[in-house]
Amino acid sequence: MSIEDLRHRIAELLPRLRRFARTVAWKPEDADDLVQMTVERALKAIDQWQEGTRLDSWLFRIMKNAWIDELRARGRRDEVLAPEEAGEHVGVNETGSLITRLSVESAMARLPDEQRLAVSLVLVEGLPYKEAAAVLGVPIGTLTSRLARGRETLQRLLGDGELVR
Amino acid sequence: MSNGVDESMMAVLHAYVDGELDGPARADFEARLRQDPALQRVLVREQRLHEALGLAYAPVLDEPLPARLTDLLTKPQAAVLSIAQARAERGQGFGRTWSYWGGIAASLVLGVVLGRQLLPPSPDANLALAVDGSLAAQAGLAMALDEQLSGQRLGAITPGLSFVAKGGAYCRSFVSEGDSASAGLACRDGAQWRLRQLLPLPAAPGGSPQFRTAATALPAELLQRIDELREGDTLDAEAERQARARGWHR
Repeated sequence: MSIEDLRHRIAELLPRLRRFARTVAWKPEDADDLVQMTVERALKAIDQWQEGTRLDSWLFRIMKNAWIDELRARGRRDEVLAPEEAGEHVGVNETGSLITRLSVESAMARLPDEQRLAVSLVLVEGLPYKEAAAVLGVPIGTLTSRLARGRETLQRLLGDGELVR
Repeated sequence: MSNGVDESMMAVLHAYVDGELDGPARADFEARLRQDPALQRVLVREQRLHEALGLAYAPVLDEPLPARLTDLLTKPQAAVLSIAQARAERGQGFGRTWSYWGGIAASLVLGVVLGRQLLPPSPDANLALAVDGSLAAQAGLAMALDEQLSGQRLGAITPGLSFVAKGGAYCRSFVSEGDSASAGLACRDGAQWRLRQLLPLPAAPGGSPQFRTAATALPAELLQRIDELREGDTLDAEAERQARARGWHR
């Protein structure tokens, strides 16, 4: 596959990269900065992608690493955590889908990074366990236990009645 | 676990929901599911969570792609190594160059001298500029929103209420006074102020529009929009000063 083909395929994955980034970084502008960094790193290392492996997983892994680097660079964790109050307004006067979105996003915001990334890769991005574990660089058993804890917390935060309208 | 399903069965159930069970394991689970109401209840709950997560983030896929991302893949560009750097680069042209300040001065002069006469009435080209299909504040408005506290007029613009919107961005209402007046709402989006609403204001009765006050002049429709958007109270002057010191980023 030529570099041009790969660039084209990465371009096609931009919507999904933005979606994953939205679960990794809180603020939409941070999320797009993260996508930008990811694409730039990917382009620089494009010869390292192996044909026959999933391009989306490779990009997600680059993004995860970029985010970890970003957290280190900032050195202040509180700066990247979602505001606590973000989850308090579930019954806002908007459409039903917006209610769902706000409540789910704010619940996600309260998960520890490692659980949130696991939940995002499997439940939002639909990656198989094997791929998600590889993205995070952990054994499958670690992935599934993070997933289980993340799910339990989300269920508790969201409450059965609030999930789907 | 209190839901009547033990931990090892929960792991199987999760694998089932995640499409990780196949062949005999899947058949076994489904056989057990038919006989176990507690398992059925938990399954429904997990499926709803899965569905809710999917629904919550699906709209991102339909958002227009920012040009700065698509540009990366259509033209070669220098590497950006940190978010701070990306932000700094994105902020260029909106930073502290002389052309920037010159542009603001020109825009303010235009606003004062021309008023609305040469400009389409709506959306107000004096205030906003279409960017990616939405409206970004023009320099004059942007400078007033950047620099002025509530009630402090700059050019034709007086910022009104400032607040944090759900999602974390700062938003500010404002009143713009030219030959005709309008009230609007703009929210911080990266290095820009993005116009969320702009409404015409009725002429001030019996006098100069300069006597409007920042808060009371806001139409009910705009106040309602603010109430829908805001998270917590509007900012007081001290909170505004702090927000301004951070460039209206949180």
